[in-house]
Amino acid sequence: MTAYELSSRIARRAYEGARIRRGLVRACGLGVLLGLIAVVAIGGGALAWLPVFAAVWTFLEWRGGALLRGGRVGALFGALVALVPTSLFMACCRLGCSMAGGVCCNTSRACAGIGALVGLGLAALLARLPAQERSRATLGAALGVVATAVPRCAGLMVGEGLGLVLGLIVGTAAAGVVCTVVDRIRQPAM
Amino acid sequence: MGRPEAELDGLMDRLADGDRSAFTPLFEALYPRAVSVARRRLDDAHAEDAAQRTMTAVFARAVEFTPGRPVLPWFYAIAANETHAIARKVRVAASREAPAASASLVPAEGDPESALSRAEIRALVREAVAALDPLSAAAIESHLADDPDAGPRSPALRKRLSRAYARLRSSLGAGTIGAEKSAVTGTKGES
Repeated sequence: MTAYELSSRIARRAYEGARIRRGLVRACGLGVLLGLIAVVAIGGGALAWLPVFAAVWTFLEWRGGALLRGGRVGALFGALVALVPTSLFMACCRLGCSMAGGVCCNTSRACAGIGALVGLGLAALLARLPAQERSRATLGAALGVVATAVPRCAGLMVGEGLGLVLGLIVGTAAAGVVCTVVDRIRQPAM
Repeated sequence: MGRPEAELDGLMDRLADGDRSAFTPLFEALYPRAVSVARRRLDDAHAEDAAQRTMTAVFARAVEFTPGRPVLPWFYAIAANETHAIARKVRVAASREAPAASASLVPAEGDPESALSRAEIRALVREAVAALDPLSAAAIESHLADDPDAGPRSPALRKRLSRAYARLRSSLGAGTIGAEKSAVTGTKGES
């Protein structure tokens, strides 16, 4: 191996290492902030989800680019979801309904609906990004919104949490696909 | 080195943003510059080392690079720092080796130069001893010829010897008597 190749490898490793280190530092900082919001809005149980946020955010910072830009937008929306009161997610669980009531207390669909709405709103923002980085930004947004909204699941049941997360992903992805299709239609024929 | 500066700025902006495709062209453009900076102060082997350290530092700090700023002044500042650090290390290493090298210039025991100076000192001391009064000369000669394991000397003999050395010292010069005596006896003598 020549000195040039060796230097290139070492420099590349240094670059990737620096990105991961910076990602970890930022993930920890944002994690503390999210933890504070989650404890106030949801409860101490939400802290158990913070490692998920830290891992996802470190990954987004490491990869950078459109993925990170989408992730930032997603994280804002995810934080909003974390602030939504639990009663909104369990709107049908009113007095007189019971857990055994089946349809009455099946709030997964409500959670999925909220998730999809947030996802669509998020995708509307992503539509403003340049077309060539939209797919990556959409993926980043989905990761960001799930990473920050996931502490919300601590106040929900498994089905509800899954509904919320899937709703977010599907909403974001659907809007992202629509934007991509619109871009292609608008693109002038070569 | 053929890439225009504006293109390098753009490549560094992209790399700082996380675009890995900018890495190789940027490395290709900056590495020869790093080697060139290092060669102005260092030999080839150390210049390669300094260039490697420069490139590692540049790419490790690429994440902190502010997009829109010119890359070359930033790069040359890092290159100068790294080259300076290597040059300092080389200087320190050279100064550590220097005392050992100068010590090897001092003639060893068996050197012809050392043997010559010992012979000169020996002759000088013999002349000085011969110039002393017969009693003092005899005391010194008997002391130098003495077997170290011969046992304790009488107080009178020790006193005569002490006076004889005092006279010899005054005739040769106080500072040199120890060296001269050791040159004569071949051992480190008492002054």
